[in-house]
Amino acid sequence: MNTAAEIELPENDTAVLTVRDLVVRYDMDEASIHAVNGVTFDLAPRETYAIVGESGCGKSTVALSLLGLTPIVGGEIVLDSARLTEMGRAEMARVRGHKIAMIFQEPMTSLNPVLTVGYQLIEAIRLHTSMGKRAAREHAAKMLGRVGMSDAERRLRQYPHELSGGMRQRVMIAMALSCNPAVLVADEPTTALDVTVQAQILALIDQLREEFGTAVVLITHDIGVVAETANRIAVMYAGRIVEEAPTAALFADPRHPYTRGLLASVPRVDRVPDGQPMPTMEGSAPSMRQLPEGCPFRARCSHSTEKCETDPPVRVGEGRMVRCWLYE
Amino acid sequence: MLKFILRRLLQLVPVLLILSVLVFSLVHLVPGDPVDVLMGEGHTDPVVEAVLRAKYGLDQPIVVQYFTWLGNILTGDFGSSLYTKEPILDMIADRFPATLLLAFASAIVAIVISIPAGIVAALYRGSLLDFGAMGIALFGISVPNFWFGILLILFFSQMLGLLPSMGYVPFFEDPWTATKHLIMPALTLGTAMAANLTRLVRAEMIEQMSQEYVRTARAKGAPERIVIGLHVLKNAMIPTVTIIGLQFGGLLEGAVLTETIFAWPGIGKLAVTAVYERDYALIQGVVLFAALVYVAVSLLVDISYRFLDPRVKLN
Amino acid sequence: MNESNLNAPLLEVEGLVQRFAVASDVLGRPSQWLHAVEDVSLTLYPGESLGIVGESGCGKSTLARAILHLYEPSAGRVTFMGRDVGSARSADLRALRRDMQIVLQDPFGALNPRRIVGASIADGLKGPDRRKRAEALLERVGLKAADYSRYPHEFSGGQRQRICIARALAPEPKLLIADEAVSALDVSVQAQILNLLSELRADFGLSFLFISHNLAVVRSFCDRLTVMYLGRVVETGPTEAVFSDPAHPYTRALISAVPIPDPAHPGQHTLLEGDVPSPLTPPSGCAFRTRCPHAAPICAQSVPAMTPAGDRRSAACARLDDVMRGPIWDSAEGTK
Repeated sequence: MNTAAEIELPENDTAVLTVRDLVVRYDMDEASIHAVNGVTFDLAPRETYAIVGESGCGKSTVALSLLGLTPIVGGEIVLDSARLTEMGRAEMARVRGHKIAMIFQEPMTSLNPVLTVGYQLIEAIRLHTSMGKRAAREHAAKMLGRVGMSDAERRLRQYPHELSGGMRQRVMIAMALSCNPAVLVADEPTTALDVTVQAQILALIDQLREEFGTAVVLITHDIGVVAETANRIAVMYAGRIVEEAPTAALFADPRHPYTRGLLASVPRVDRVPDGQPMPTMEGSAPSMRQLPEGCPFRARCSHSTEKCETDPPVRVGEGRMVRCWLYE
Repeated sequence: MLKFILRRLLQLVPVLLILSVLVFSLVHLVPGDPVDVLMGEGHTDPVVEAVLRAKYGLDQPIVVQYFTWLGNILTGDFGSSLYTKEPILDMIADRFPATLLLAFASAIVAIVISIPAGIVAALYRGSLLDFGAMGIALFGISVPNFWFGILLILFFSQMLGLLPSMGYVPFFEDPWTATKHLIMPALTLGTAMAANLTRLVRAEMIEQMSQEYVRTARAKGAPERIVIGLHVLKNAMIPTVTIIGLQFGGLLEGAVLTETIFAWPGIGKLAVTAVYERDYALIQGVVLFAALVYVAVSLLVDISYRFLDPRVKLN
Repeated sequence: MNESNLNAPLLEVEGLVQRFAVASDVLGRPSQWLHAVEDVSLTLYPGESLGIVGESGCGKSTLARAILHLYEPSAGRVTFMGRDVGSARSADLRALRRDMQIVLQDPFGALNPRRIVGASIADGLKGPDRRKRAEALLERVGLKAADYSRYPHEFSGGQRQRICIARALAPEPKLLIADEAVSALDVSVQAQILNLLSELRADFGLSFLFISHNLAVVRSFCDRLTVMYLGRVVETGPTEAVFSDPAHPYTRALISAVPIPDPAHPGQHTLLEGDVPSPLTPPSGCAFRTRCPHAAPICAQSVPAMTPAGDRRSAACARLDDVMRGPIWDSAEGTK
């Protein structure tokens, strides 16, 4: 599963997806939630790019934004030289599920409960191709086979509630890949699944990424999952990417104080506990309604200085990025 | 499936028995004596009274009367009207087509108004359209429907002279005249039903639009008209159809006020007549019939659930 | 905690069965059962922390509720502090329940949103100075005394879990049942809460029944481990012994499926086929045989009994002698 070394880091001109200064804000009755505050990254063809962070850091909002499903207020998203951020509703709908597809955390509720698996798969195929009903049905059955579901004909006639969680996630993957998209966005695809099923689904996504030549944006809070599946990792905090690096480099040498704290607080199943208290970061993330000036992590950071009250600089080099005054 | 229906029918037995006791005792606890009515005003001949009482079994202890009545009903004999001597079942059969026609027409009116109105209100939640639809719906719920019926008569019959203010013509005899007679009572009942249904459709649509499968449908590139018109609507319709079915069952019992205003010869009108005439046997028959119809309709609604919602397994 | 084994057990569960009727026939008699917990036995000694692990549907949460006697067990016995929980009358049961408190996964649903948190904590206290003592408990779990009169929505998820812990500590329990108590929390907050629980365990001499699907957390917190699959115990033993050399094929697969947060020492995953079967229709014999790489005809015949599998260890597998044993990870083991 560790293919990090085989993949070149993206040059700007080869990236399948580029995101520049993405800003997303949800306007509520009283306040605005500043969910994403300037996110920039490139996705290379066939790579798995993981965005990790804790709840509320904006990672899922980034995922939904890539499909134009959030109120984007600034920045630019370019997919295969098409500017998604400038598209109208109808045009964007033709891209979704076709060039860029998505799978979600809850396979239990992500499928329509009153439509058969077949209907939902065939719909996804026919929305973006000129296939007739018959051809689309055959293609749907073939897709179920490719995600490891036997007895595809029977599966097509079944309703979502007749399938287990793992099977439903396979259906979601089949649906997402049915039009052979350039990019698959996977938002916590295994969080709701049991650990033995999680291992199957992660292996499946990785295998299909190879077969279909799809690049994957993997959104997760699970550090173990990213360590095993991602080529590159972005760590998000309070709506921004604070550090980005190839997987091995990030784990070997985490630079941002938040990344260090995050990696240290993950309990290890493969290690004998040393009996010491686990390293922790005190406090919790700031409210996304009212972000502080400067570095949003400074209240919890042991390295914070007066400088941190202004926006930290971005330092780029050796294929990695860090946003912190420590690396000025 | 068959097992489910069997069990439901089995469960109905005690319900219907309790119902029959209630129907029987209510009528007998109400003040007023049918023999007085039969003998006519001013007549007080005790011999005639005794003969009449014996003839209709009204001299028996009330428990005996109940079991006699129940036994007859179980053999399909609802008895005869105390007043017209006609078999009650014939009277009901005579009136039922009128009620059935009105119920169908009202349900269609209600569906045609409420489903689009509910969808629009949900889609433009918080907008003027939503406020407008909900305001009208609230008005429709709070205003008694006989008042609306009278307004219709005033406007369409008295002022414009477009529609007949009362009466009923069997649909298959003369569809055009029948429709003209049908419009106002159907509007009266249909709008009242639509008021509740619109609120239900709106609430269900809003509930369903927040579900995660909607996000999936959008993510696969379905245009909004498919997301709403197919994915959301299909789910929102499950509870809606249930309520429509139950309300339709209610309409089949006869709409007492509306049928009276429009002199519509349905079950409701029959019930009113029976009450005025203290026709015990007829009241019992009508009420029991109405209850049976409602029970049957709710069973049908439950079974239809099986077809609407694949998650429901009837066992 | 080996020395504590000399004492009498604090909690003993013997042959516990918990079934729920999920369907009934024409006459309303139960016709289909959900086998939530099937013949589970376990022992917890004072001061010990026993981990219960397994995937969804394995019955671990039902087991917790059955121990608290929130259900009438279908069969079996729960003995707590020498008293039979099942036969305790309601007043005694209330007293017994003061001694075993539960902390649940969802710190949002567990607190009454309309009551100040201090009042929720003070409910569990007896005697004078309840407010002072409730404030002291708040401080003990890492909050401020002034938080006494605040409402649950004013706190973050981690803080709410601290409040739930303070509330559970108020009646001075002997046993704390933690049912996925840190599962809904972010890792940085999860570490804080685990540290807090470890401190409290030492300070108050608490015993823990620690239910979790997170094996890494269990390894860091528990002395002993019980692995469940489809309502049954498949393996039990001292935590380190089980992790370093799992005996049951399911335990091996479960542990090896956990992704390792270290690209330098990636895990070696044994991929299991399929999903956990439905507890409505568990397979005959060994429930795991449908996914087991070692399954043989014998596995379908009868439910395997718990048999010794090393020092204070046992496992329920008919082919225990044929299962390849040994550590799951080699290079990373023991290094830090």
